[in-house]
Amino acid sequence: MVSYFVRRALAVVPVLILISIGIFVLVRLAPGDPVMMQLDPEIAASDSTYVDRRRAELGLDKPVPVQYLAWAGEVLQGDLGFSFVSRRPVLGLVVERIMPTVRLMGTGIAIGLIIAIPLGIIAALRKNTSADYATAVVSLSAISIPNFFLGLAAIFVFGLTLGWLPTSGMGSGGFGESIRHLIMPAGILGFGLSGPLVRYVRSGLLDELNKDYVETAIAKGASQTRVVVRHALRNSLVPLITVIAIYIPQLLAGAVVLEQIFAWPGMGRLVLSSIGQRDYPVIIAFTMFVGLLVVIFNLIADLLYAVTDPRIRLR
Amino acid sequence: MDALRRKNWLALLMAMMLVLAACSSSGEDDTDTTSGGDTTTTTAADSGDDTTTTTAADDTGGDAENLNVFLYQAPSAWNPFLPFHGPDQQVMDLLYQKLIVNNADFEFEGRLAESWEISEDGTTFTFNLYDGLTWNDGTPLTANDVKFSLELLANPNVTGSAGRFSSVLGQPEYAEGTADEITGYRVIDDTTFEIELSAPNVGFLTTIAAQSVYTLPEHVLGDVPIEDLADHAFFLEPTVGYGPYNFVEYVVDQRVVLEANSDYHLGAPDIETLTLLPLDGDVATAQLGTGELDLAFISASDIELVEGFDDVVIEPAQGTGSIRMSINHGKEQFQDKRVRQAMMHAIDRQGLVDVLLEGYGDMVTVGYYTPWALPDGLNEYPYDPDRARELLDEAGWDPATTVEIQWIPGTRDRDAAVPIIQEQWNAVGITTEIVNVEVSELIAKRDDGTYDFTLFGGGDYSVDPHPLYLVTNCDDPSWTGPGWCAQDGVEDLLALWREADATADFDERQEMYHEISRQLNDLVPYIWLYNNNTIWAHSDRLEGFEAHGNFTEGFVNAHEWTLSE
Repeated sequence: MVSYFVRRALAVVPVLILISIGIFVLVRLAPGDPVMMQLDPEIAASDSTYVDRRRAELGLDKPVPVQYLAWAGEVLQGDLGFSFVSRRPVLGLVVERIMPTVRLMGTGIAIGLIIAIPLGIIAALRKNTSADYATAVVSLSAISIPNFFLGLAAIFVFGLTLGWLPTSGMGSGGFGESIRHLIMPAGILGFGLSGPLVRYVRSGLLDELNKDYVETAIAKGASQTRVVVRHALRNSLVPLITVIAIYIPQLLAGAVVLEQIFAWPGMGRLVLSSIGQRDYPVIIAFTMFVGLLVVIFNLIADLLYAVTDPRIRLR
Repeated sequence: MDALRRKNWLALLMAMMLVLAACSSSGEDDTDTTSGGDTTTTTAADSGDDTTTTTAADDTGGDAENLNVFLYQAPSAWNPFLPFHGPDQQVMDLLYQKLIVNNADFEFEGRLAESWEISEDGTTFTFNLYDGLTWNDGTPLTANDVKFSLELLANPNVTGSAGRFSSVLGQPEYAEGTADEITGYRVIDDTTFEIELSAPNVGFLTTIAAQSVYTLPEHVLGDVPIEDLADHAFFLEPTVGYGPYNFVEYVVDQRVVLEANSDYHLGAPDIETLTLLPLDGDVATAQLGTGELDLAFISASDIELVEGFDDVVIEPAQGTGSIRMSINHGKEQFQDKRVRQAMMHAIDRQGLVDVLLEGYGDMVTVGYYTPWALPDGLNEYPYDPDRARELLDEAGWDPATTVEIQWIPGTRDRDAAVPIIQEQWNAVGITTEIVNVEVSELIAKRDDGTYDFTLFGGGDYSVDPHPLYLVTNCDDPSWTGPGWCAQDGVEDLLALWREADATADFDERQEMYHEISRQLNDLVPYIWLYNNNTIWAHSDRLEGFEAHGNFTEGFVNAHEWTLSE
């Protein structure tokens, strides 16, 4: 087990290096120059000495491989550089915003599970009935309706028309107020996640229900609730956790849009404005962070599989 | 064994949930500490109650004197040396002061300066500051602070826009590093400051009232090395300043909280705190309806919705910029003014205003809006495809020529305007292609002269007509370029323009500008399109608000705002 873990963990390092090179090159391939981006195109005397000096200050005058090595050297020392726009340390900018994003995503995942598990169970137990089809409709809508549309629609209905919920920010009062601010963005994020999860819960549970041990349990006289909850559901949740682990980076992408709409002070808003301004250090830090999440959660998913299934470990 | 593993599994799941829960409950503290420790509770925006008069009172008990104001983007820093960023300008207008500002009536209005005089030869400007000004920490604010700030703003090692002060006597030497100070800046006494230019230009006042020309505290920043100013920590928390409001806190991406400066020399502001909230435009519009927001600007397409809100007042104001297309005058086919006039006639500009801006806009015919500079009887270039065809025939336009319009996509009305113009030009025989570009690509194509037309917008052409000279002259070929200056009448026009800006006598200057306007109107240096109104919407509790055509200057009279109950 330990050697498996070490092997898998070591494999992460080259993957991260490749990701960082890929991101670094892609960001620089995107059209738009960060120094020019900040100048008003109308300013007639776009001061070329300023542009050159600023490019030199930012190291943008050097070839991309040189820039990459300089950046990588600093990152290894824990320095993510400075934002081109606000000129503040990138690490500080990201750290300030990480907790709101974690709060939004954590609640979103919880809500996704709360929606998906009961619906998935109903769909599996009532396979091919109208209840099953109804959950299929719900989960398909959750997958196909974009976040931003749901967000704006929810603001219109629950904020503007009904006046039930605040429409922006994270709140600064007590627990209750924070919850009120969370409901719309986290609810929508969770709803989006619940779409695929329902399908996984349903198929996982169906797989388990068809297995011999379930038949044995029923033969022994166990009640249906006991068979479903204690035996089949528990087993079917194992792959679900892997699914969630793999979905986390995608969720983060969804959170970017929702953070923008709901003025949630997380990393999503930061990265959107940074992309607009070609603020390379911030974009790279964020995408590296997502890359790191993908790699780590894939590693976790693999390890969890190994924990539950010895065949993987031995391979 | 399997059962045990499954137990591990569930335990892990529980642990993950717990971690997430713990993270989410500590998130609050983490964001709040970043704001610097001062915990203020004036957070009306977050009380989120559904009543229309949600105020800070919900949180603080009794303080109903807060106004929630929209910021269209999150601020970066309150630093006048950084490149222009609209939301930062809005906040800086409240924290620092300029000598003079452009007011909502398209006139100059004194802030630190009680009065100002221009010498008869149009080269020397004398500003008389108000007596007894003090920074909010009690230190006297004098003409030395003004000199300190203006010198830094003219230093290319500090800021990218130092070039706009190049006409000040001694600035070029200072910029090159051969002089320690700018000789054209002179402190006469504590309340008198003088600026001398190397060549006469009455229109220089627009530079003094322009974006970022704020007065900063020398006693705080005087010892900071030049190279550290652009990213100095002071500008993230500018607690020492002088303006109608003082800085209290910035909660990252959530709100900027300001508190009235009771010693403000033009009268202590009536509204105790301003909470400025960076929001998405659509959300801001909705929040006007819920009462979470008291003041915002909105897009024309949302007017109908906002009109339906109770207790919200809509105030449109004529914009100060313009949407226009620059012409590559370097290309021979555009050098005949009849071609450019035909292009004007071929576009239904009133239609663009009516359809794209819901009528909240104006057609542009000259390029500046300074009321006194515009004579009667200018050609409005009404939509007339037949006249356009005639003019093209007269000019011998080759129907085989294809022209290209480039623009930066992302603004609703411009994105819609471009294909309409394409269709209308095609209809009169100008084969038109459209292509969208990025800023850097646009500038590169401009600089190497490979573009035909660039649709863009912006600028401030309200208080004084001089700024248009900066983008229409020959000395600095940028938009209009050498091809423009070689055309008949252009050199004379520009000479007259320079003479007008050297004329301190108002009546004489006005007469010259009337002639300039007529010639510009005839020569069509740009394809003028339209000018969007800035549409403000605010709670009817807010009184004394003046709708400013330039939204980044919308808060210049914040000290006059009051809140009724």
